[in-house]
Amino acid sequence: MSMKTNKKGLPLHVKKHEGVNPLFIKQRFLRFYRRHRDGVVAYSLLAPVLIYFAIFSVFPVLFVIYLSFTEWNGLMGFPQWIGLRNFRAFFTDLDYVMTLVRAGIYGFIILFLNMIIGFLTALLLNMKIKGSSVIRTIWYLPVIVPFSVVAQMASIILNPVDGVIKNIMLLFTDKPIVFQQSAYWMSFWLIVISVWKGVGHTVIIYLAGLQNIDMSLYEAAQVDGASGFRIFKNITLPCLRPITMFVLITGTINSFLIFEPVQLITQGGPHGATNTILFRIFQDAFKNFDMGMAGASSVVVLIITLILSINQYRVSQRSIV
Amino acid sequence: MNLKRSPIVSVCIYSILVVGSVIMLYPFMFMVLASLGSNTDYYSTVIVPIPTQLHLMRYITVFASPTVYLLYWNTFIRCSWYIFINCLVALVCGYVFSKLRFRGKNTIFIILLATMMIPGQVTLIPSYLILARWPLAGGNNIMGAGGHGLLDSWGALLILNVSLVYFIFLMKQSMESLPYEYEEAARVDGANVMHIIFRIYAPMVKPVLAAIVIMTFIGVWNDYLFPLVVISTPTKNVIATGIASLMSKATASGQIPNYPEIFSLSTIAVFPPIFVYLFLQKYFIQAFTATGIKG
Repeated sequence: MSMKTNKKGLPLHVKKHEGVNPLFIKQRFLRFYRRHRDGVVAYSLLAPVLIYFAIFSVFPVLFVIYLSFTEWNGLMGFPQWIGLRNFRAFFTDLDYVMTLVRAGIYGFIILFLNMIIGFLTALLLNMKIKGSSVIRTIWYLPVIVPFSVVAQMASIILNPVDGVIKNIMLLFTDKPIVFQQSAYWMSFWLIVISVWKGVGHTVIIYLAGLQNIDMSLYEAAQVDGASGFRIFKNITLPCLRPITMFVLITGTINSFLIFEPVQLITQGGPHGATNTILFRIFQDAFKNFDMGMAGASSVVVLIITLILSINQYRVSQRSIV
Repeated sequence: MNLKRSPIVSVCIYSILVVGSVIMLYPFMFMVLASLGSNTDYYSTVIVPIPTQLHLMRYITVFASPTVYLLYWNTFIRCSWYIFINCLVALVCGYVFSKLRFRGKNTIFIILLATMMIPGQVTLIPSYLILARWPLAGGNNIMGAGGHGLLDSWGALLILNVSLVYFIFLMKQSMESLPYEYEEAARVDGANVMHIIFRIYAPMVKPVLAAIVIMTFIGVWNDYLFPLVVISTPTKNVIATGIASLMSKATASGQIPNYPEIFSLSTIAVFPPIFVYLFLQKYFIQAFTATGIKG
């Protein structure tokens, strides 16, 4: 608000128009500030945040869309425009399409198991048993530890040379299974580890949902002589519907973008049979230095996640109302 | 439900839950027991390694190595910075969006919310390139060419993903329910905006701040992809990437790996978030059920 003034204490720029009362201009400025105080304060506070988001949130999206139409190693020079060639390569190369499909399949199975196991455990924990808070705490532990360390540990335990799982198998058979050679076994372990990591979160959310259900509904149903199963079907399940939508929304994209276990346990192997889209993007960008292809894959992922979240948002709006 | 359960049902429920809990705890038990014993104990493992004698000193020797405690120090600085900046941004933006009236408010807020739909992994490559081509940093000229930019420096560790929009959203929601009278009284007394935000509103939204602190801590502690991409010097690494690479290095070298050491590394990486969780459990459940952001 402080203006530059001359010796007489009048604003500098007023000097040219002697006829105007200098105080009038100051008053006008003050009046503007008072009338639009909220706006001035809001925009001056928001400016740094908006600039930050423009650089690190909005610009990257535009940049990745531009990159997807170019060919560039990212190290030197500038991107060369090649039109739709990256996307054509993506959809004609079975490798890329399979990474996408595989990420979808893994994501679906992980989310499905997560919700089933999480829901059943939450139901059991809700049955007024002793020590339920201890069990809940234990189930939640995997959620908060670094996934990379867990995955690294799993790859040590699954090691085909001296892993513990091999020792256990040796007790039963002479020829232990070498998991690393089989895509099915590696997928199995990826899914098991991801479910182990994430299921505690689902349990907590469902438990919170179950505890929020109005007890008077159950009492009314009991007075009416409803059986346990019918209470479950007609009261518990409908009341949990918003929670289920919530878990679906937050879970689908998370499970789809599985990365740490793929990178640390299987490295996409054997022969790329457990490669998922995010790991492929990582490899393209930082191993093959093909930023254009990585950008094209990122754009495909972006479109899929946007479709998923818009769809799920619409479904959730419908189910809550 | 007030239904009486028969003892058989109770036993079934308990056994299912206990078996589940044992599965959930198994990797942790395995890790701690393997880290306490010797390598021979590890090789004679059947289900979990049983230590014949306790090597507690191993933790001190592992932690004393500069490659390990620097990881802690870096992660600590990173967590503190993100906690500070996230709380600050959430408070200021929450106040602006909930209490001030100005033109374009809803448009800006909806644009911010829309950026939430974009997963961070999608912008991994452009973010990396922005950091690599940051002008006038790390040997780059004004056009952003020539050097490595902000890569492999503190800039890269501290600049990305500041303030999730969700925290702003959360703060706005909870500030909207607060009364306006306090602010009005403070304005009459001549308080400025900063005073209003940090002296009047901040104490009233302490639970939300606690939630932001916890989620930021867990999120930054477990962050793997971004440090993996932007950091290459081991001394500038953070826990999630550093411990994982130390573990894989220890198993990949030609000789017989020292498994107890590897598992003590993983133990010291895993336990800080667990301690935070056990002490702040009340806020945790609140925070994570309210938002659904995974750690």
